[in-house]
Amino acid sequence: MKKYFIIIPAFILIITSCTERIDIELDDTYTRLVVYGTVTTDTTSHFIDLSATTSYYYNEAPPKVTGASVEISDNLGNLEQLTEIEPGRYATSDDFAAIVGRIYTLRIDLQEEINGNKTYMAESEVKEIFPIDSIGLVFQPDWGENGFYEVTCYYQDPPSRDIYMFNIFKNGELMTDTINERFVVDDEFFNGSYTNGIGVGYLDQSKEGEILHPGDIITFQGCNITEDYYDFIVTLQTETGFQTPLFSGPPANVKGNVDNGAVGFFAVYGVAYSSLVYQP
Amino acid sequence: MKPGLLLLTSIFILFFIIARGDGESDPSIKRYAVSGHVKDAETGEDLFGASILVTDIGTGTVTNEYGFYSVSLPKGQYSLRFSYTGYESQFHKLTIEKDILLDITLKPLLETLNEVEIKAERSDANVKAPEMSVVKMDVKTINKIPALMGEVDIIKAIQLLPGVQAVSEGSSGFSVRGGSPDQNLVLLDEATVYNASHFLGFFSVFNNDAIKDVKLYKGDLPAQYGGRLASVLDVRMKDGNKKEFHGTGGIGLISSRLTLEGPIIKDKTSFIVSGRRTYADLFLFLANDENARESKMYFYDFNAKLNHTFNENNRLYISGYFGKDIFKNPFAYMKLGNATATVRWNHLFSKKLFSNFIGLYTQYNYGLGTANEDDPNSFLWTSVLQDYQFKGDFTYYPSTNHTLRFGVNSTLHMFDPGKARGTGDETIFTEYKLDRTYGLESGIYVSNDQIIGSRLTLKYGLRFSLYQNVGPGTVYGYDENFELSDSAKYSKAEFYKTYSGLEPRLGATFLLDEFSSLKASYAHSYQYLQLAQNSSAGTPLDIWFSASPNVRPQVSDQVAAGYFRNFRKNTIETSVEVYYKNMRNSIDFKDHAELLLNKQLEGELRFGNSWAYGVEVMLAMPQGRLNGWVSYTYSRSWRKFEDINDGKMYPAPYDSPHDISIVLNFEATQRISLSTNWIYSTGKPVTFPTGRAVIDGVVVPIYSDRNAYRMMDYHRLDLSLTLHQKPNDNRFKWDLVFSVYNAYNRHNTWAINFTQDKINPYVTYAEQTYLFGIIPAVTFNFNF
Repeated sequence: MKKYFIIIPAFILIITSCTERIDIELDDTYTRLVVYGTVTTDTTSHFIDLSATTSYYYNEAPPKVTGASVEISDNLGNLEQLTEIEPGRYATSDDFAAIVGRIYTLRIDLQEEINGNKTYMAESEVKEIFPIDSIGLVFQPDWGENGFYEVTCYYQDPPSRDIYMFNIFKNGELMTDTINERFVVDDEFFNGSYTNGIGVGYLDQSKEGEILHPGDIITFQGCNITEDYYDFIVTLQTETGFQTPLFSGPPANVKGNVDNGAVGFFAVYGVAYSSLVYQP
Repeated sequence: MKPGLLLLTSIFILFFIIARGDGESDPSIKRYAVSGHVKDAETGEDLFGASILVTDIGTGTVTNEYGFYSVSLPKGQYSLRFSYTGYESQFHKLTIEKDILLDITLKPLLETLNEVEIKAERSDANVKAPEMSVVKMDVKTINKIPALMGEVDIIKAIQLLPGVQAVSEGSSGFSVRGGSPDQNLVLLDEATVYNASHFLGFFSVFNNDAIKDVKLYKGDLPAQYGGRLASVLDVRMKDGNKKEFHGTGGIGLISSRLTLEGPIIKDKTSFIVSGRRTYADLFLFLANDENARESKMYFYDFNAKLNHTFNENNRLYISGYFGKDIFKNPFAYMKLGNATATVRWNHLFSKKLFSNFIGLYTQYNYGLGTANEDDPNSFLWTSVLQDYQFKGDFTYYPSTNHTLRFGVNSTLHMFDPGKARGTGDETIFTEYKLDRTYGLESGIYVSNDQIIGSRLTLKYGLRFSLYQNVGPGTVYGYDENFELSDSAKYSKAEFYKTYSGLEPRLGATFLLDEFSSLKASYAHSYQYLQLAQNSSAGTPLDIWFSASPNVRPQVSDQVAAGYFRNFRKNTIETSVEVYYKNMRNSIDFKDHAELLLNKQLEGELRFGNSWAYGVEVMLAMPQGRLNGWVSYTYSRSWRKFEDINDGKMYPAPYDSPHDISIVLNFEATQRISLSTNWIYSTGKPVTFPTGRAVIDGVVVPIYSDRNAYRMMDYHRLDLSLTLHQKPNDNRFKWDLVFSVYNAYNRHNTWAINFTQDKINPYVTYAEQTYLFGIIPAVTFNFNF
């Protein structure tokens, strides 16, 4: 929510400012392991991606880290061995689902060490997800060129402090498909209230993929994520978003939850769904 | 309270020394005071800094901020010379055998070229004044400087002085000798202005038409000031013409302004009111963006002042400022503004003891909300900061060799850092409120300017400052990892934490000869309030926080030395100053700090040391057909924090080693004057990526050490041409100013971003944003 506040005055700058490409020489730094993967309470294959950092102007897909042994275990001693289904992408079996309340540990053993380490670990706890009563669609004609559809959500927020990630699917396709578009929100401003139509997603009717047609199925996925994952997403969005001397603090590295200086995150969370069919 | 006792003792000792007298002011000789006010003959405005020289003994004094002077002399015959830059001097022969009241009115020199050349009095204050690292600017000088969009601006003018830099392109925030913007105390008629900017800083709150003069102390702070480490910017409003009714105004590209002033009772009571309103939103329809076209943004401000002279011993000044910025678009709005009110009473206890009692109030507030208030998603967020202050300042003039100043002040600060609530009936938001906190900041000081022989002037003073956190309040405790560990509640009116400090201030001026001097100074200062802001240019969303059980006051020691030399009968002033500043308990913020609406703000703070040093070289030609200055500054500013940048030292955000300013004005003919300024400064330090990771298809930067890189160097040329009306006897006078900002259209970097290519997301490149290309403007000014 705080992020919206600072968007407000920023439009002044539209009037006079100009942006242009420039050449800046950058130094290189040492290579780190990059880990990213999410596991949910859905029963399906879940993926862990391994790659390596590069110089900033590398301009190609990152080098994949192949041949590693990747396993996920829980605090009850269950172990899931992941298989490498394509270079650098490791998958669980398709009947795997995380269970609320358990703590999951990711362990990666590399064939060759990166930055002096062969073994990397990360841990994540699965938080309980709320039941969603229903969702709605509200058209906001004044926003953007052709208006926006706002996806609204109705559920009872529990008294605990929770942090949510909201994902919108249109006909099964995730609309916010990269991590820097994810909608995350801390419930500190509405904790314990009935969310009487809180905005949880936006479909820009001037954007090709987001335009709604009669019969489209809109699915809302609510995820209850950990504070560390929230911080990871928010800081990643800050560091990859537009920065100005007015509103941005000094740049700083995005902090993940993998040990031994690896970059990235291993997140496990509970999910709940609600759907509707679009009828204008 | 032991330091307070020490200070009181030193006050008594000082009095004792002065009462006993030194070699040159034998107490057995009775002294009489010649005193009065020095004023402008045409407007009746008090003149601050006019010099009074007793030519027979070669010493004298200068008028204070209220135009008052007092010279104590033994019985005898004396000649006194009264002079002020840009005014005709006056000589008075006096036989002194009792106290004499002598009010002086000085006539401004006509701005015709030849007369200025011949008759202008050349001030030797640059060399002789017992102060350094100080610049006084009058409004006439500021008016001549080419301005952004034709809006003449005090703060933009002081940014052209050596040792002072804008924090970012077009910003009203400024850094003095490498310090942070919140280390500057900005005063308007002695009331603190907490956010001196309009429009995100592109314009300042000071309307030049209502301002009389501006004085900037860059170090060597007089003992009467405290509470900030880097500088004091003392802005004073005009008192209002005591002789005749007059108006001044202007119509510019983005704003119009009108000032009216005049006597209510001639020579006794006068007023001034001044207003300004922008109409920049009229141009929004030109914007490409639809949201911008439907937006509103404007600011206005209003200054008013009333002064009344009861009799020769009592004068009253009431002044106020009120200003607001409004932004609105289809989704949301934002309002912010400052308000100040000052009541001052000048009282003469005797012809030798001047006093000034001040009561003042200041406020800064802002609010943000969503446009549709009934929507369940709608909210309103507000924040307010308020000060109530009382001050008593005294100046005692026992002899020509001593000027003794002492006083007390106390301020009650009230901070409401933020409150957010839903506005609709079916709102989903619960109220989220950061509790109000209270602080009491007090000071007591004494200082003396002492002339020893014909060459040496000493200035020494001591300030005792005190900061107290007053309940009710909740204080959170943090462990060594800055994680919340406990909290403590304090009840109403409970003093739950007290900090205090003794602040010695020393200065010496040694005249080498008639035209050159050496000066040195030392200042020890405390700062109890600071701004929670980690962006370099600063947002209007200010949150000030004070010293507390978790936050110790910032402390600074500054030493400076300088050589001052005037050439060609004081027509050319030069100076070289060096300084070193060491600061403890400096504050910076952790990576990705959350500063807004955060109850545990103090957990986001990190503490360390910082230091700065530099050399400032200045050559000025204050008068003449060709006037202006050239300055060069070399300065560095560093920080070292255990918990930031892995404990390694890093350049402060405002570290900019080389800085050059050239400001010139040429009176080409009687009707045309030309002005230009060129500035150059090393690019500000910045953190860049040195590697990248790809996470979920997004390129995530891996950064260098903090501030390991620099932006491109900044330079810019501005030009202006002023066309005056043909000289005539009409009451209505006008001029027309054509100006060009950034004349050679330099694309000065405001922000650098690294982005992914839209077509091939694995391709990354750097992009710079610049704010202003070449910007021409026309302003029409008039007065009657």
